[in-house]
Amino acid sequence: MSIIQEYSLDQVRKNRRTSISIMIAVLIASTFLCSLLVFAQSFWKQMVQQEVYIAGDWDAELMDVPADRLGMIRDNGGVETMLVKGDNRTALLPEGMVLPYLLIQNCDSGYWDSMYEKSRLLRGRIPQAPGEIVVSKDFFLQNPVYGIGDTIAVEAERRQSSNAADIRQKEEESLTIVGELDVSVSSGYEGYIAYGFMEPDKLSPDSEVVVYLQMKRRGKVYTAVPQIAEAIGLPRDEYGNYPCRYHAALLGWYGVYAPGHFFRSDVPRLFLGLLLAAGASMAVFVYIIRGAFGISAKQKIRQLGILKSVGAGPKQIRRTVVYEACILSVIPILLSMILGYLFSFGVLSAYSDMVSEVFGSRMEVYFSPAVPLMTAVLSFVTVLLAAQGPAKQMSKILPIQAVRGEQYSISVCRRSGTLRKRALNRAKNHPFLTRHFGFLGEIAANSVRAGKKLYHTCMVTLSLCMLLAFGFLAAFTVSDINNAQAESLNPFDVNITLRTGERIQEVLLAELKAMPGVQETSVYAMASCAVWLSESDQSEEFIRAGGFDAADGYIVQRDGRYRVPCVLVGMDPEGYRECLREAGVETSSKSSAIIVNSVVKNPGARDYGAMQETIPYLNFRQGQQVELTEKYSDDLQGDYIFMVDVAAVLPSMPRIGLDPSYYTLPVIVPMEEYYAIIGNFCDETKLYNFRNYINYAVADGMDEEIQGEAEKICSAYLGSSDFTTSSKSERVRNRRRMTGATMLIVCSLAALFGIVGISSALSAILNSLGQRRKEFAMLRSVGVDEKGIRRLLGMEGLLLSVRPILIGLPLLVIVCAAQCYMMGVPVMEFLDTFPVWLLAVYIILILIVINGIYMLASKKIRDDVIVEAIKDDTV
Amino acid sequence: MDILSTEGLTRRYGTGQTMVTALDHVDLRVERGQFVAVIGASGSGKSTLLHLLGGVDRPDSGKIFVEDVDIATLGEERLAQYRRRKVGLIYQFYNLIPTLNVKKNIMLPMLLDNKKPGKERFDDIVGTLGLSDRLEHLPGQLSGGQQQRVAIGRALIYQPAILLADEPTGNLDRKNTEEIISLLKLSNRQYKQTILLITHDEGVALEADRIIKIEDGKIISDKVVRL
Ligand SMILES: Nc1ncnc2c1ncn2[C@@H]1O[C@H](COP(=O)(O)OP(=O)(O)OP(=O)(O)O)[C@@H](O)[C@H]1O
Ligand SMILES: [Mg+2]
Repeated sequence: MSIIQEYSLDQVRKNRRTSISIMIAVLIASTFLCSLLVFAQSFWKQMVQQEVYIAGDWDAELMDVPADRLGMIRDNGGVETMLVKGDNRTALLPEGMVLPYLLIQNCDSGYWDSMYEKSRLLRGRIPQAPGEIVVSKDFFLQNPVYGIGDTIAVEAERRQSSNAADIRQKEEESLTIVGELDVSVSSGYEGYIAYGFMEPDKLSPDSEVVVYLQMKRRGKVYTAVPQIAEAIGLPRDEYGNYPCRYHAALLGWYGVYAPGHFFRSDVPRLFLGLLLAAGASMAVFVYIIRGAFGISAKQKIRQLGILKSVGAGPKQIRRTVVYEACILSVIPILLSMILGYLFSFGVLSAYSDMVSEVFGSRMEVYFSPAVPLMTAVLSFVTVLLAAQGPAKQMSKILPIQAVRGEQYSISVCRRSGTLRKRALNRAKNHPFLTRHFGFLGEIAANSVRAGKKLYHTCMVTLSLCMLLAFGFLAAFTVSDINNAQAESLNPFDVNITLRTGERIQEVLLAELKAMPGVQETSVYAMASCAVWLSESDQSEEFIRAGGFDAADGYIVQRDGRYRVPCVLVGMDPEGYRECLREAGVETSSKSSAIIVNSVVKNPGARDYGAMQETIPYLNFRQGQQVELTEKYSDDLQGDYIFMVDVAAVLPSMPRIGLDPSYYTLPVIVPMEEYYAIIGNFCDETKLYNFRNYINYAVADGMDEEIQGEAEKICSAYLGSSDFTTSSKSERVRNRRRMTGATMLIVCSLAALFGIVGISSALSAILNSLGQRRKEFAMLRSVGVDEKGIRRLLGMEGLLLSVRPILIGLPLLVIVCAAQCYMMGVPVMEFLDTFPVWLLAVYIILILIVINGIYMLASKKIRDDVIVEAIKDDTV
Repeated sequence: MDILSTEGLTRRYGTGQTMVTALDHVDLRVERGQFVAVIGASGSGKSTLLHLLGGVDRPDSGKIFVEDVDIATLGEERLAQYRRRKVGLIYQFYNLIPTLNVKKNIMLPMLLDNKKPGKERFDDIVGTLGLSDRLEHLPGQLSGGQQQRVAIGRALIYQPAILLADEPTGNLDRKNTEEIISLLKLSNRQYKQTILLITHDEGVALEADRIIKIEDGKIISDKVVRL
C-alpha cells in the first residue's frame, strides 16, 4: 500500500462524520439507481411476458412449409428452436353432437412449450402424445356428456387449410380429450376447435405446416429468415416477399426492428426516457456527493497543504481524493444492491397489488445479475465524477495557502484586514439581521456567508430535490386530470369490442342490441383508409385555419396531391338511415356514403374546450363520387381502391361514441357495404377491421350491471380473448388505481430524492457546526452568554431552513403553472388533485429537521468546556 | 557557485489600500554549503521569503534560481519534485500529518517517492532528535518541542541540498536548541547542505556563517560572520 493510499484510508477512518455522510449519499444514490433499473427491467420483463402470454414466444413465422423441409430449418445455424403447427385434420364426430366436426390443429412439443395456447387452458393439461387433444369450451358447453379423460372415436380427414371443405383421405381414429381451451370459432364452421399433438418427423412429406422460429441471434432475424425461406425453396408472392411474418411486438421489446421502423416505435422512446431519467438523477447525485467530498477535502485542506509542501505532486493529491471516493463507495454500493432490491420489491409489490386488477396479471419483480452490475458501474461513475471537482481544486491550491488553512467561518475574516472589512460591509447589507439582532445578527450573517459554499450545497440540494420530486408529481397530476376530462365528454358508459377476426354473428349482435335497460345504443365497425385530394378540395374556413399544409404529419403531400386519412365507418341499417334523416335525405341509392365534414379549428389549442371547436373541412357535395384507398400509410401492403357516392354531408360526427382524430375524415357506409369493401383489403388489415364496437348509454350507476350482462352474452358466443368490455365506472376505478400506483412509484423515487437532499444538507450543517465549535467557544470566552449563543444558532437555523423553501417553492409554482397552462388544466382542479399535503409534509420536515439539529447543536455547544473546544486539534 | 539566488523577488498580499508588500524586490545570493541566518522583526517578511524559496508559494514578480533553474516557472509536477528532493522545509508551526505516526511523518518525502531511507541514516537522525522511543506515536501525543523535532527530521530525511528552517528552535529549551543547531551544522558540513534559518535568537544567529536582516520586506543588512 502506498503512502497515499494509507493516508486516504486513515482519513476515512478519522473523519468519521464526513465519511458517514458521504457513504449515506452514495448509498442512497446507488439505491435510487438500482431501484430505477429494477423498475425498468421489471416493467420490460412484464411487457415481454405479457406479449409471450398473448402471442407466444417466437421471433418469426414461416407459412406453407412442406414437411420434408423441416430438417433443413432445424439444421440451419441461425435457428435456435423450431415450433411446428399444422397437419390439420377435420374429424367427423360421432352422431348426436351439436356440431358435426372437430377442427384439429396438431402442434409439436416445442410449440406447446412456447406458444400462447397453453395459457388458454381452462382445465386438464396440454396434449403430450399423438391422439391426445384439448378442445374448445363450447364443445363441453354444447355436449355436456363429455368430460376430460373421455375418448371419442372419429373419422379424421387431412385438411390442407383451415377450410373444412378441402377433404382428402379418411381414417378411423380415437382421440382422448385431456383438456379444455378458452378459444372459440365462428359458427360458420361446422365444428369445434381442437388442438392435438404431433411429432414433426412422422409427418407425411407432402403435408404443409406452419413453422415458428426462435432465433439464436434475434438481432439478425430480419435478414436471416428470408434467407432460410429462400434456402428451403418457399415461393415468393407478387411483391417478392416470402410467406413469413415477424413477431414485431416481441422483437421490439428486445430492441430489434425491421429496417426503418426504429424511430417510429415506442420502446426506443421509453428507453431514451429512462436514459434521461437516469442521467438527470445521476447529475443531481453528482452535485450532492460532490458537495460532500468538497467538505471532506476542505477539512483536510491543511494536511493536503503539508503533503504538498513536502513534495506530494498534484497527481498524488488528486489521488488522495479519488482513493477516498473508492474506499467510501465500495460498501454503500454493495449495500445498495440489497437495499435497492428490497426497496423496489416493496414498491413494486404494492404497485402490482394496485394494478393487478387493471392488467389482470401481477407484475413480478425482476432482479437480473445485470442490475447490480449496472448499478455498480453507474454509481461508481457518479462517485468518481463527483470526486473529480474537489480533487482538481485541491491539487491546484498553493501549498502555503492550504497550510495556512484558507478556510471558512471566522478565520476568513480574521486572515486579513481587507476581508474583514468586506465581510463587515456585507453584514451591513443585511439590514434585517443587524437591526433586529445587533452584533450577534452580524456574526450570524457573517458565518452564513463565510460558509457560503457549504450552505449553498445544502440549499440547492433541498430545493432541487423538492423541485424534482414535486415537479414529477405535478406532471402526473396534470395528465391525470386531462384524461379525466376526455372521459367525461364520452356520452357512452359501456363499451364492447368484438374481435373474432371475422364477421360477427348476427345472433350475438341482435342479442346485444336488445339489451334491456339501455338508453341509447350504437353499433359500428371501422377501418382506416385514405383519400387523395387536391388543394381546391379544402373549404374556405379550413384554408383560413391553415389548411392541409398546417397538418404536417397527418396529411402527406405528394406531387401537389394530399393524402387525407379517412375512417370508414360501418353502421347498421337503422343507424345509417337515422344519419341520413339527420342530413335531410330520405332514402339512398345502392352504394352510398355519408361524409362528416368537420375538422378541428385549432388543433394546437391547449385546453379541451377550445379543441372541440370545429369548422367545415372539405368541399364535398351530395351526389359527388369519392375514390378511397386502403393504403393510408406507405408501408401498408394492400392498395385496394374503391368508390363511394356521397349521399349526404353531415356537419358533425353523429353520436356513436367514435371520436376521430385530427384531420381524419369519417366516411359512413351501411354495414353490408362496409363488409363488402373490407373484404377486398389485404389479409392482415381485413382481420382487424372485422371488429365491431358496441356502445351503450345507460342511467347513472347502471353501467357496471349492464357491462356484466353484456359480458355474459358475449362469453356465451365467444372465447374470452375475442371480446372486451369496459364501463365508465370501471375505467374511472382503473384510472384511479393506475394513477395511485404510478404515484406510488413516483413518490417512492421522490422520497429517495428527499432523503438525499435532507441528509446531505444535514451533513453539511453538522460539519460546519463541528468546525465552528472553536469559534463559539471563543465567543463564549470573551463573554457572549448562553442566551446569545442560542439566539445566534436559532437565527442561523431559521435562515438556512427558510431559504431553500423560499427558493424552491416559487420555482415549483412556476413549474406547476407551466404544466397547467400547457395542458389547459384549471388551477383549482389541479390543486384538488395535487398532493399538496405531501408538499406541506416535506416543507415541515425540512423546517423541523434543520431547526432541530440547530437546537441540539446549540445545546451541545453551550455545554462545551471552553478550553477543550479551543485547544487546537491540528498540529 | 550560487546554489540559490533571487532577482527582484516581490510578494504582495491583499489589494488596494490594504495591500501589504511582504517582500519588496529582494535580490539574494546564497553559495552552496553556506549556513545563513535570517533575522528581523515580526511581520518583516522572513517567513514569506522562506516559503517562496521552498516552492510552496508563488512570487508576484521576480525570479528564484535554484541551481540555475527558475522554480517560479516550473510546472506543478516538477515543482512537487523540487519540494520533495531538493529542499527540506521546517515551518514555524510544525505542520505534521496527524493521522500518520512519527516514523511515517519523518519518512513522508521518501514515501511519496516510493522509497525508504537507509536504516542507519534513519536511526542516526531519529537518535539525534531524541525520538527513538516515540516512533509509533501520533503527533498529537507529543509535546510541542517533540513535534518540532519530528518536523526537522522530516526535512532532513531526504538529505536535501537546501534546508529552510523557520524558527525551528522557537519552542525548545536551551539544551534542546543547542542540540538541534549542532545537528544542523553537522548536516551542513557533512553533506555540504545549504541552510537558511530564521531565528529571533541572537545566540543561534551567531552560529551561522552569514546573517541577513530583513525589514519591511527588504534586506537591510547582510553580514558574513565567518568563511
Ligand atoms: N496570507 C496573508 N495574507 C495577508 N497578509 C499576509 C499573509 N501572510 C503574511 N502576510 C503579511 O505579510 C507580512 C510578512 O509576513 P511574514 O509571515 O513573512 O512575517 P515574519 O517575518 O515571518 O513574521 P514573524 O516573525 O512574526 O513570523 C506581514 O505583515 C503579514 O501581515
Ligand atoms: Mg514568520
